Amino acid sequence: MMMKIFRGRVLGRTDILIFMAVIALCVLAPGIYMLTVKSAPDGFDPDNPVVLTIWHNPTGQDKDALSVAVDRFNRSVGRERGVSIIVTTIAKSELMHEKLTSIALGTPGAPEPPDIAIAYPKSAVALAAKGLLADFGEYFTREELDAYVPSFIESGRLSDGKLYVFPVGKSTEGLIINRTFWDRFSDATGTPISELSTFEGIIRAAEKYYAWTGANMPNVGDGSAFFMIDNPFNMAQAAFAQMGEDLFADDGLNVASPVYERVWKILFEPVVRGYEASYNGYGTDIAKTGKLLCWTSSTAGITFMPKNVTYDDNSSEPVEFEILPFPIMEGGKKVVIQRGGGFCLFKSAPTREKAAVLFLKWLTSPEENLRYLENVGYMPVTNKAIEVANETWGENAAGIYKSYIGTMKTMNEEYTFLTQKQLENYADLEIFYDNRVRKLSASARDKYLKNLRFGEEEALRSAVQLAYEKFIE
Amino acid sequence: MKNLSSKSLEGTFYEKLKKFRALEFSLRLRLYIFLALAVLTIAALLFFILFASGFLDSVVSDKHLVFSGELEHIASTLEKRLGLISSTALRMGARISKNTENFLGERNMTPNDLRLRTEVLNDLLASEFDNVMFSLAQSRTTGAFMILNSTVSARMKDAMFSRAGLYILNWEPDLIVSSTQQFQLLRGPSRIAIERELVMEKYWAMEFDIADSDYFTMPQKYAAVYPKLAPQICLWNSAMKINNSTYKAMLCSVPLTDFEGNVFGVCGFDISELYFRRTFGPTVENFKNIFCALAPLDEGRIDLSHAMISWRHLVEDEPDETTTLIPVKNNRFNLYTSNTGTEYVGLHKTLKLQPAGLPFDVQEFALALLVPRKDFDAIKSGQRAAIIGIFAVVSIAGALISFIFNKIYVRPIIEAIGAVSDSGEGNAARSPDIAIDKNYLLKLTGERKPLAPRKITGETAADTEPGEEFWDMGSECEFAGRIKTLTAAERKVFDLYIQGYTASDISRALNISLNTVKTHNKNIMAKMQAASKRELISANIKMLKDGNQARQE
Repeated sequence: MMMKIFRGRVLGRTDILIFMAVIALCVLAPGIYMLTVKSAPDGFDPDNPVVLTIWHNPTGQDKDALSVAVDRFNRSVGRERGVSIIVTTIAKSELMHEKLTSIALGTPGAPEPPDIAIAYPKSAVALAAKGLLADFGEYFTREELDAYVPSFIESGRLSDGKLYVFPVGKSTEGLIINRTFWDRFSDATGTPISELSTFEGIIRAAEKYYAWTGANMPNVGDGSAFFMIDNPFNMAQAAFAQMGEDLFADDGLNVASPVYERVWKILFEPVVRGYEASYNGYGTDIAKTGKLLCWTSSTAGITFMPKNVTYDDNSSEPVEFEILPFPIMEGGKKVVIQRGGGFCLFKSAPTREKAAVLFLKWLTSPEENLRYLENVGYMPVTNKAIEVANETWGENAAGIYKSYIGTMKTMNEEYTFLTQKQLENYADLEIFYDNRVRKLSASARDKYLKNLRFGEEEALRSAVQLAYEKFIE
Repeated sequence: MKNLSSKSLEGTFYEKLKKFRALEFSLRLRLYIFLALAVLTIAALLFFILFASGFLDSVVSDKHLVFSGELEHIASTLEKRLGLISSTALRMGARISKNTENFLGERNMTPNDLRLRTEVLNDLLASEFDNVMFSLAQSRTTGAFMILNSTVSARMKDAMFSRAGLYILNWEPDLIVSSTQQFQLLRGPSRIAIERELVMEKYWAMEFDIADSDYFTMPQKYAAVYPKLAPQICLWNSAMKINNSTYKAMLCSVPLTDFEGNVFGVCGFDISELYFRRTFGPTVENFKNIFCALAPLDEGRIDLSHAMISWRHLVEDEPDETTTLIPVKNNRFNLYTSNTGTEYVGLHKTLKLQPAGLPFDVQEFALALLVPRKDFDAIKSGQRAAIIGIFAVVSIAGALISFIFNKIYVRPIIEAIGAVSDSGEGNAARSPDIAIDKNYLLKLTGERKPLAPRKITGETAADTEPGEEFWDMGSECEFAGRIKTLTAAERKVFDLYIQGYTASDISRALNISLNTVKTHNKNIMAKMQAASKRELISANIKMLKDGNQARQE
């Protein structure tokens, strides 16, 4: 019996160990719980979500497409994993570029950077140079990136080879036409629609349209503009590529090439004559007034089409719009510029960066990407999603969306897509080129109108004199 | 009598207590009761602290505090922001009124002539463009407009509802570094947009459709009836979609009047639904699906169908924006029932948006902070579960600690006493009044220092269990014989001595002096031929054990 008592002392030690283990378990339990149950391996907590801010471009739909996708993410994967996105800015790409540039430059009054923002490479270059952007390459495996269209991924890599702009949808350019007006004009003049496949054909049609619309007007030079180039710098890049050349040379522009003057003539002379509109905005705006028949535009522009045109006396008429393939230079190859930026990831805590990548992976998964991009004028970014889009998107399409499906099919099969050049001074060159073309052509147009009393050819001669020399100065 | 009865009661109580004590609970039970009481005391103390500190109450009141604090914060921000917009609108109204009079005066016209001589409308609007843009920048809001009571399309079918004007939208009202890229033209002549390279909104139209548009009719109506009050009239209107567009906003409008009091239009600002949603959302955590609504208040009912609603980013379903809510006071929170049967819990506050002291009724607005009832109840039951969980954990931990303490400390005692009982001292072990001397227990539980004197060896040692040592003080008979030589007084001391009592304990127990005890001890040691107390106790145990074995045989 005494032995048992003695053994009791040995058991006491074990008991103390058990007791200490229980106490340790009690103390560590919450931590273990947090680590095993509450917290995912990537550090997200559904009860305390990582809240990210996002800036993006608007789409012309009644319910902004990306905002709808963000809501869907927040209510599904975001809620499950502990990530939530708040849209804090919806701004068109020009304003977005201004805001991002002000962040990169540290301009007084610049906004706080978001976690992710839609940006074109021209904005990303400045941000990456300041070390503000994270490299997506660190968050994607090679296998994951292989699922995406290679050229879309490559267009987001900057000069250091790092992937700073991640694609979620890519647009290109096409020619949007007021089909109602075209049919009326074509029926009256016999102009074939094939004229709209080349820039030279468009100018020929524009001349006819100007005369046709001006015929019933009281004054000379009252004809209506036929076409407009939304983005002259993009058109110039595409035109050079169509002619087998490159617009850029030695950090500047390839002024020495004959193509440079040929492009200038397309952008300048028709404006002076009044065949072409020159406007630092979208062709869509002028088309709303019935004063424009067609214009080159981003395919994303199809969501902004009105259902009516409104004239100066506030009368209006219903019209239909269509989008056709991007025109080419006569004798050139079929090349069109690839548009649509991507998301930049601002450097922050690793958990925030991972959360942003989680959202982007979700958004570019084939199913979600197709849902987000249907009817917004953008192409999906994964090979699989593009296959599905080709098969299914045309089924219920109507109006301009139907023509978009057909046009994209044609361009995917026949065109080469040109990615924008990754140059540090790209934005400066673009602003310089576009402003110079518009300023010179507007000034020449005024001169032309003043001198019309001397005859059209004399007015033109005096208006365009030395203009090209000024342009290439 | 009274004293007597109380005494008898006391007597009864003491009797009962004595009887209770006489129940002679076992030591094991007593220790368990003691530990259970200790656990209960700790739990009670914990409850007391939680109650006294107001924690339990605060679980409910905190929710109310957080809710009302959030409501106050958003309401106050809104009142300031919308107040700034109202005052800027009044200033803009005064400027446009004056400028229009001047513009028309230069053309020998009055505002009344605008209805017939519409050819000046576009020029008039163009001349006010900069003024409207400047006011829009000043107000830091999402849109500014001016509408003239005139149309360029007077002969057209819809002329009755068509009015010329300007409506400029600002996509980034909080942007400090202003850019022309942030503005769009929603209504107005296209020439104004194209000449200024201003983007035209997707739903751009040349003129306003003012059908069912209180923001256009009401300020003009009141200004016409109360011309002296016209400079003070700035009315906020329920949120609505601008006709023929998808743009939803809440508009404030002021009448445009000439110096004679003729009303010729309105101007004002808006706050868009998108901006409201991005800027004034509730920030409080823990309330799933919480949202706030800036809504018209009609006879105490909150009209969500004409409200601006903002919700947290994690909302599961967007709030139903088609209903009217009837609030009912329910404890600290209100219960809001919609006409579709949906229930919400929350609070609301009437906002001071409209000018005070006007002689006509104006639309009242309230800011409501609401949570769907199912989500609110889920939080309540979640908190209750958390409190129950805490106390369950405390109780389980107490029971566990009690069990472990029992295992470590109590069981050896019980076993030791059991051992004594087995060795013939059972009566003493089971006695409820036994006092356990530490030294004695140390002996019993084997925690003793090995002492040198005569150890049992050989055959005697073989009888003992391993680890047990006894001092040889001769046979059982010899030891018993020696006991008989003790006097009665010495025997009393001896009996207590071998039970492990100390000299001072024995002195107190027998009510004799310590010196007397020591004298008796000296005699006892001599008569029993023992070298130490330990030897004496050991010999006594051996005697009892041998006696038991003999009886068994």
